[in-house]
Amino acid sequence: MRTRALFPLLLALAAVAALSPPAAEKAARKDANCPVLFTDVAASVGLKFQHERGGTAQHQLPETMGSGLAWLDYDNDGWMDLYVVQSGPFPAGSGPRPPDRLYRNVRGVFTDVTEKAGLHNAGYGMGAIAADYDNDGFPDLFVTNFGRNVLYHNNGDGTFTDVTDRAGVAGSGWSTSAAFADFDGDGYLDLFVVRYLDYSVEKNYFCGDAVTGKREYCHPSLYPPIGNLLYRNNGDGTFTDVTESSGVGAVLGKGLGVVVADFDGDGKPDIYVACDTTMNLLLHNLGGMKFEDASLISGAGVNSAGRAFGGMGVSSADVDGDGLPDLLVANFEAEPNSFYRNVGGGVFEDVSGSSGFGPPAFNFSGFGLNPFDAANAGRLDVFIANGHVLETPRMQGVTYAERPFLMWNDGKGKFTERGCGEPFRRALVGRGSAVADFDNDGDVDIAVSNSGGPLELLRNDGVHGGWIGLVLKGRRSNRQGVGAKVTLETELGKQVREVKAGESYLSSSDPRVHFGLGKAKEIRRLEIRWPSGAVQTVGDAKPGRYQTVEEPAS
Amino acid sequence: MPVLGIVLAVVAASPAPTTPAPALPSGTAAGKAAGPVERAADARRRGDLETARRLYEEALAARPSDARAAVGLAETLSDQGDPAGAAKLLAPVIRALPDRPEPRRALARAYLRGGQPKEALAEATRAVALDPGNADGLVLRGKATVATGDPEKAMPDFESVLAAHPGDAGALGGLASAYDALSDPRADEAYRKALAADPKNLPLAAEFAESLWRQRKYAQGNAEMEKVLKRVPDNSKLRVHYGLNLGEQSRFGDAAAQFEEVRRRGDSSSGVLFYLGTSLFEVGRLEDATAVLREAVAAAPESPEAHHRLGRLLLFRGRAAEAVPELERAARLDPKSAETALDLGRAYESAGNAAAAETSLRRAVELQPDLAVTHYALGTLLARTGRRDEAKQEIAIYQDFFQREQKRRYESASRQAELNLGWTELRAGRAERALEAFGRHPDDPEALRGGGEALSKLGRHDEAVRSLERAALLDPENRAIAWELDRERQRERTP
Repeated sequence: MRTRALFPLLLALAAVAALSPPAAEKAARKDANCPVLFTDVAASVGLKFQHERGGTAQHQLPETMGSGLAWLDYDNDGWMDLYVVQSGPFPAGSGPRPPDRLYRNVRGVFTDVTEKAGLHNAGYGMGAIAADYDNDGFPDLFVTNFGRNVLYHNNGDGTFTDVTDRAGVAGSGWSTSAAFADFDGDGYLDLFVVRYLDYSVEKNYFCGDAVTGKREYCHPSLYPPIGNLLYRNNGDGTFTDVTESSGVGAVLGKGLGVVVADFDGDGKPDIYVACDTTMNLLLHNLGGMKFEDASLISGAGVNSAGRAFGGMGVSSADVDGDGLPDLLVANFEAEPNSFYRNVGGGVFEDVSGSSGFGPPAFNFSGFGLNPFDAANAGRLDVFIANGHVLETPRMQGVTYAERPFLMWNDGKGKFTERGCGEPFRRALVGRGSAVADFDNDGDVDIAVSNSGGPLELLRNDGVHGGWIGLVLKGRRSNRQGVGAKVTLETELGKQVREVKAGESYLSSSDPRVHFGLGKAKEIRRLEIRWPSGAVQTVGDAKPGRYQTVEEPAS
Repeated sequence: MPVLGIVLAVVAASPAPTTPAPALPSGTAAGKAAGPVERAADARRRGDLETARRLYEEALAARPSDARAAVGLAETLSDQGDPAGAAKLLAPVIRALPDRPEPRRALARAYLRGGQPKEALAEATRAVALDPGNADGLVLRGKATVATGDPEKAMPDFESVLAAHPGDAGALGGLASAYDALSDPRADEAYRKALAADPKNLPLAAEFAESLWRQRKYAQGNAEMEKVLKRVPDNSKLRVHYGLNLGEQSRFGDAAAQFEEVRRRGDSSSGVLFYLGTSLFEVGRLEDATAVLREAVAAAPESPEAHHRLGRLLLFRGRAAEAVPELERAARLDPKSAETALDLGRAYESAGNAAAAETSLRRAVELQPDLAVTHYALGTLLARTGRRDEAKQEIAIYQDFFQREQKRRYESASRQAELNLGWTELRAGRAERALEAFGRHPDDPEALRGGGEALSKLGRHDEAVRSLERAALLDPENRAIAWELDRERQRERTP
């Protein structure tokens, strides 16, 4: 038996040996022009997470959509920990479900602390965001599900408590992404929850080949949208559902991704929701917890041809260097990804084609999307996780598993797609993605959740430019500084970041502010405009480290 | 039956049908030209249409009054895709021999191939009156009846032929077409039998492929069409037709391969290049698509569609400066196209010329005020140029349209999904559950039809009849419903 078992192994090894040099050369050639390379180190640093989507013969639509993840420093040790959402059998409770996982980061190596932390999400999991909603200095967790959502309060001692019922944020239906932001400027983070479709197990139509009886997942157009939810933080650990009174409930879309930023520069955070087959929503914050629908007038609701796409993941960042937050959306197959350039005053221009950002995505289905400075060059590149929803896509040339994208920015908002490293040649069914400097080496790494596949942690290696990192601590503003706008000026130009809690697809990223400096030698100005309105200049900014900046008390 | 017409026309180079060439009675001039006419008939049976035509023409040149040669030549012209030429040739023969069925049958066939089913039915009816027992005449009349939209009326003709000649390929094919027109599930089996009886009948094989496509049995339909194309690889019209069907199946890569093949075989017409470029665009081969569409433009510089498609692709790729001249040319060639004016406006805006963009977009609105997307493009342009109040008016028009369209799509898609669920349950033998799904759409004829079938399966025939009657009332033109209603009434009467 031993000999027989060994024989194929030897053959395989021989084949690998025979193929290795040319394959390695080929890979090296492909990576030759890459300033940095990414390597999947998940398993070697202790992140052995396998997503289970719980696919059934009934092809229930939620099985295609999970899941997401959230970076947070839950123990305030200066190292980013990772919460990963599991999905499991659908519907929840129909079988044993592997748990969501919280991994503690100890100097770049992760340990599963889920049980110890007391995290027991039993729902069919979708996404997660982390933010300090009660300003106690410890980031909390909000987990979205198909069904009841869960808010975990961080007790500050390494454990969490499910405070959902007390807080009043369980919601219902099919929640997807979420974002925390201080919409009413009271210093507490409010919560916006995106919901997708009015779907239930009973509403699972037959989709697929009616002749052979072979089922496929249904198209979202078969189901009506279900409204998003907005909760105002009362400041005492409870929230009030202000969905209707705020005007948010009147604007419907089949939402999957969300990002919050001050798009029109009026000092109030606005909401942008990426929707699937319906127009994307831009909810303009009027103040006083009131919103108006500015989706179409903004020019970012549909593409320049008036078409609504299958929007999944979304983020905003100033990618063209004009100081204004632009919008980036990952879309479904046969659609370009969208780049809506902010031209000022809350108005956008669809530059998906001319920027080079959109066309490479035509045969791909994008989900997770994260702007980040891959080489610390002083400009924001974009990572996009791709993966189809159908095991056998109908469109030719399209596959279920797809490689991700790394979109390199020339600094003026012109993009070129070029993967750097093995993970960009590997096809998986990408979903949520979130960026963080997990090893605190000053460059930004990427975590990716793959539907029915392994969690990836793409470590960023290579020669980078300089960098500087900030940990914001609000005093009049919310403690985490969500919504703060940070402007950095060097002799090479100006960069702007806005602190977010929730972006991409079902995910949230490293809350620290990170700037690549490129070859800049001098920081001329580092300014923080806090959500409270306070403007603070950081005088002692030193590159090559993360430094904590506290908001002035008055 | 426009689809049948297309198929018959595009398979013009296929061999002659198995029906024997008409034998005109002795006493005509036929006897003296027997040699070449028989050789011609033989060539036609073999599918060598060029030789058949040459021999018939020689026979006619030798004896212009030879009716057999004239009829044979007319049949050959029909086979070669010239039914009008055939009809012209037959007119004097029929005038000279008004009581002969053969030229009338040939004329009926020519009319059928020429897409004139009513005329075909009239001639075939006359031919049957003159020769009631002739199988060819009955089959032609049946086919003409199917083509005029009365498939159930055609059944007796095919059935009477098959009663006398069970293997008659023409009658089997006709019966298959009739079943197909009635959406009767026996169609597939009937086509298979007909093709087994007459494996060289390419029009019928192509028709079977069409039938399978209509039933969404795409893989099977494609396989049938591949078989046909293997036999007539140079038939570019049929290959283009196949390519277009592949595109409808979202198989753009395969579609592109078919158009490539058409080009490789010598047809580089603008139309072929246009479809090839479009298919390449759909599979994301943008560079190739651009190159091919440039060729399409070069092949037909006066084609507004080619310029428009190229301009739109360039605009999609963000090459607005290159898109503008293409779209300007398209707009000059087709100044009444609102879509072209719209895309030109978008291209101008992308190229930084807001004033020209506004002019072009306003022109698009003028040309087609109900083209909602134009209002969106104009609205966002106005918003970007700071004219927010004007912008809001335009956006409101678009928003209203968008919301109505979303609602319509949702209602239509969810209704269809529920009907699919009903049919699937029914096929799986779960009639009760099928009835439940169909029952949610009490005013939809297809749901009522499905409900009728489900009730029938449950033995509730009187309710089934009522359901089908209501379906027939809502959709009186639907032959399949009428057919099922007749059958259900029979079942109701037969305990």
